Amino acid sequence: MACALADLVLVNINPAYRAMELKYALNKVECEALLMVSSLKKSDYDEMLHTIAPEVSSCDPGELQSKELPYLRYVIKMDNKVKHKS
Amino acid sequence: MLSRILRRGFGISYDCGVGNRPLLYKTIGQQLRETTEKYPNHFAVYSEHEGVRYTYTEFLSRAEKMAAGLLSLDY
Repeated sequence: MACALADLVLVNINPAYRAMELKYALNKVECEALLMVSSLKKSDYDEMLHTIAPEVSSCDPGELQSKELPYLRYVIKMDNKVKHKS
Repeated sequence: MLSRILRRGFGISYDCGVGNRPLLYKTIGQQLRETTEKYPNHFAVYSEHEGVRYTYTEFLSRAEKMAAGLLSLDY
């Protein structure tokens, strides 16, 4: 709903995707911002993202430049309803 | 031609034509705001696994805040 109000394009990702499928999907749509939760059922998304793009955990806020996810600039965690710039 | 074949074998899986109702040219956001104005204290969403529910007023407020947050990121 927030994306609809903000005129942002929302693309849902299959929660059963593994790391390589996620990477393919994110790059395919040139995803600039990723909204996620840490984990769901048997998928650990934090770990998955770290595997694809370890720069997410280590870079300065607002300075994300990942080799594997070149379009990605923001990772927004929905846990605790806090937004983090990466 | 194709729709006839589909209809024969598998039921109508593809069809096209003019419907009875006209298209609405509202955005999703506009519709939410209209509904909130009409029914501000009706429940809009209920999340069982989170144990929360929100009225349209609360839901719109939270969505607008999130939208503002997303827009504040430097795209």
